[in-house]
Amino acid sequence: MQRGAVNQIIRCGFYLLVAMVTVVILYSIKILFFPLVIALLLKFLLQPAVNFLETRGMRRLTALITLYLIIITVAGAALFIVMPLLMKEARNFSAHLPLYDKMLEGALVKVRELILQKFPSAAVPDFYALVHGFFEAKSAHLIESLPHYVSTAASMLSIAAIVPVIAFFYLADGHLIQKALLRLAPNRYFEMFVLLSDKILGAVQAFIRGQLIDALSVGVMTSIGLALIGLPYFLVIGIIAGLGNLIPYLGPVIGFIPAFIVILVSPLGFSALGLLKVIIVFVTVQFIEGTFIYPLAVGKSVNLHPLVVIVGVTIGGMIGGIVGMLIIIPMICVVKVTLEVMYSYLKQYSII
Amino acid sequence: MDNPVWSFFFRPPQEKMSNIALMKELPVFDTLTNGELVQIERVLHERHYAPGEVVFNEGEPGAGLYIIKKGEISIRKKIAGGNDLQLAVIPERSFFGELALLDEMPRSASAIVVTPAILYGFSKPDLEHLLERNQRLGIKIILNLSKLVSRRLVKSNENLEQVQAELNRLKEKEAH
Repeated sequence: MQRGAVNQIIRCGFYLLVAMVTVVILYSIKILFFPLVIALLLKFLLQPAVNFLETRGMRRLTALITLYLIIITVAGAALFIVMPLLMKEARNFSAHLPLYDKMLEGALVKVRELILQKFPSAAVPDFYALVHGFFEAKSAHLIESLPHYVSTAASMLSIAAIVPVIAFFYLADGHLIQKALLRLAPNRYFEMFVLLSDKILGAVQAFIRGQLIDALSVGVMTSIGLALIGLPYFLVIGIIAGLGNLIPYLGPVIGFIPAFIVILVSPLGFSALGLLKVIIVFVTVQFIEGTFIYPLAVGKSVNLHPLVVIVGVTIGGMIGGIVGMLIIIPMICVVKVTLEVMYSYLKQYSII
Repeated sequence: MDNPVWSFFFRPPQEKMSNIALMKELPVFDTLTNGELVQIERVLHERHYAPGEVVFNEGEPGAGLYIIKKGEISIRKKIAGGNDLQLAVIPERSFFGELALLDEMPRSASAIVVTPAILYGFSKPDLEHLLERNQRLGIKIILNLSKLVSRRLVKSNENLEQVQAELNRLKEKEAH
């Protein structure tokens, strides 16, 4: 074997080792891995705003500090407005809980009677007892695992505190980090690495930014629509609809389910007109989102086949529960975009 | 210790000043102020090459221009029969590959290192980011590049005219 080829193998081995060590470190310190990734998302979202301020003649650091001050002010104001509303909804919900319980019992008993009337010989279980048993078990579990939830909340708070700091450094010196990594590329592949990293980062950045804008607008539109028709808990349902929107095809259903439950256990009794209004709100939001917002914000570059979505969501749910279901589709899209860009470049460089 | 990552974060200031002096000599950057040159210097990629190493190959997508701090680069083009024709040897303190800053088209020739070389790469993505963040500076560079390209176009036209005249002369000679 030639000396050059041996060197090549040793070099490849070295880089592989470095990559493996990096992955192992990142995996073992999960507590830092998640803030790093979330901070990267925040960086993608804020980068255009920093660039905009910079083009207005501000220095990058001044632009960054200005942007952070604006965000803190806006977030503070939003919390000031939204928090009392959320608290009111939560208080309202707990005050109405016995009533909802009674409504649910009435509805489920009625359903059971209806089934028994049609099929007198069928062994229909007591739905209400089943649901009650389920929630009782859940609440007992909730109390048992309260310390766990408290510690989770504490670590979430520490993540929330560290993320903006990491994002700040990403925004200030992100290009230097990229440049330092490019130093490690072998001379022969330097140009390919430059173009590839730029294209992949650009595509992923555009996709994530688009998804977040899309989810935010669906959340806001749904909340406003539901508030206009006078549905209680419009804010919580709006937030669920916005988050659910990260999952294509299933997103609208995820937002609709809680709205449907609220209609079902409404203190005024279930009404077909109320249901129709909710359906109109959801269809209108989906129409506006599908026609105007999604094509502009995300584009058609990452169309996934419905089967991929269903399989992905199932696997995501199995691995990471609801959070897994929410993030698996954006992750699949990121991998898809990365592979597409890599394929086209490796072809141009005659590597594959 | 010659560690690329370490030396990236901790490098002597005189190296930075000598790079800025080098950039001032080049027509792509000669209209830039010192402050603007510092911004460009921050994004340059320092690369070390051994003789015979390929900087880029003909036909591959071009990523940007290279400033030669040290060493010589041979520009070669494949001709019929699979042989290489040396078009030029680019000396120290000059640059090559600048067309890739304007368009990511395939490289028209290969660049191969003749003597041990230190090159500074300035990539198209770097220029695009500069254009997003500091349009004034980006436009200055693009204007300089346009001047270079237009001068080269005039020169090519002159060469073409000469070749055409020579061709006509030969045709006439053959007809007689």
